Amino acid sequence: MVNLLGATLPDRKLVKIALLAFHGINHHTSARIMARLQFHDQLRVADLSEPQLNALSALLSAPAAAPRPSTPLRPFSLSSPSSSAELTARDPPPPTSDPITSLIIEEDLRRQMRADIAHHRTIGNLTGRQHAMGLPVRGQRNKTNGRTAKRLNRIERRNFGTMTGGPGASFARSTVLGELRTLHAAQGRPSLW
Amino acid sequence: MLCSPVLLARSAWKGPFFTSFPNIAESLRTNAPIRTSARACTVLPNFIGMRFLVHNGKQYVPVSITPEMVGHKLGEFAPSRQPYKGRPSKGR
Repeated sequence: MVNLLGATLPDRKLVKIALLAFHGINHHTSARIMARLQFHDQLRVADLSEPQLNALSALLSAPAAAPRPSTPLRPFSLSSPSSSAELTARDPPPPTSDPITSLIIEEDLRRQMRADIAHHRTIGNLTGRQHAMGLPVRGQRNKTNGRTAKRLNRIERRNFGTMTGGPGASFARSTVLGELRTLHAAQGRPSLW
Repeated sequence: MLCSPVLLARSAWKGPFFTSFPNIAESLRTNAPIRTSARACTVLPNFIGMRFLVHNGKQYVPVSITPEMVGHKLGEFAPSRQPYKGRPSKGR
């Protein structure tokens, strides 16, 4: 068992599956994170080394600050490079098009969602009204059906994440490091700090 | 923050869809509401402080524009359907 940012990742699971425990990470994002950290596809949580664990927690706690991948020096080709002129660095893609730089997870995502609903309610448009009345927002019928909307749609939308910790999960960097320290101490691993 | 709805659906090079109202300047001066049925018109930044009467299919609903409404459509503020309320039972 690995405790990461308030979520418990079971040892036996693949890392790409275990990452789905975080609200805001789907299969696609999980695959992007695995690629960014250069984890192999079949890596299991139990096999994560300490530097890998550190890299993962650093990326999840501050996605915007995560190091971007190194720029490929030249396009892939079967033939060997003919001249050194081809070895010029290309411009990296802009951070705005990077799915990991703009990653928002857990409490930040929930807060953003609540803020969006509150915005609609403040300006009083149809979306805000339907939220206030607990009705479907996107044009579905509401004479019958609409049971999911009745359950979830509120001004203060209910927490629907998979994490039982909910708002208790903290994202402060110091907390993350503290958790890691206790974890490593408990498992008898050498600690970097 | 919420992305402007205009940006979500439409190519940036087109700009927002809007209807030109010839009487904007006069409306801003006299604070007279503009009567319109252009529900698809995007609220532009220069609409702030203006008043509209937006058609909802039956009536003209008064809407006064605040800065937060920029980027939404006029029709969003004039609901075109009545909420379903159950039928009163017979004999009462």
